[in-house]
Amino acid sequence: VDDGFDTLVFWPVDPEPGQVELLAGDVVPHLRRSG
Amino acid sequence: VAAGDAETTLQFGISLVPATEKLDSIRQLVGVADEAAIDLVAIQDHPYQHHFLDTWSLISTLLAETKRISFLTDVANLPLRPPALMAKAAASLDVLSGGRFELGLGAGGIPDVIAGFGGPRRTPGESVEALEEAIDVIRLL
Repeated sequence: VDDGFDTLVFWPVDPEPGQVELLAGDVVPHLRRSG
Repeated sequence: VAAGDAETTLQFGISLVPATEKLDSIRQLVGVADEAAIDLVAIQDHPYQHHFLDTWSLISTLLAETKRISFLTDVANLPLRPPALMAKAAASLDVLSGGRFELGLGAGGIPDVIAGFGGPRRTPGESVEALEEAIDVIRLL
């Protein structure tokens, strides 16, 4: 964010619904708070 | 973007490969993302890949099947899609979806297959010039 990026796109090699749920439910909230 | 604004400005997305044989999985993942706290789905654009669905047709279909999430061409292949038509298609999708379409542009990185698919064979320098010109055209339209 400090370098000007405004979007993070996760590209899983073999995506599964659980990965998307983990990203949305765990990773994203932490990253939003850390900003 | 100021660090203090991160909570309201930072977007999160997932990138999906538009493989025809993965269509059921793509629909399932997009549905999960649409219900979750994901902002956008990014889909690459390689028209010459015989086992890929057309990215614009796929995004159009997925926009109609979802309610909240946005879609991004990641990135649209400029040598095979004239910029004026691409601008028209992008603006149309954005209006039809209530502002849920984002246009990502690419200069085209595989000259041989682009030429084999009927597009121009550009050097890296020509590709950058064409990209700059396309951005101007798209913004004018």
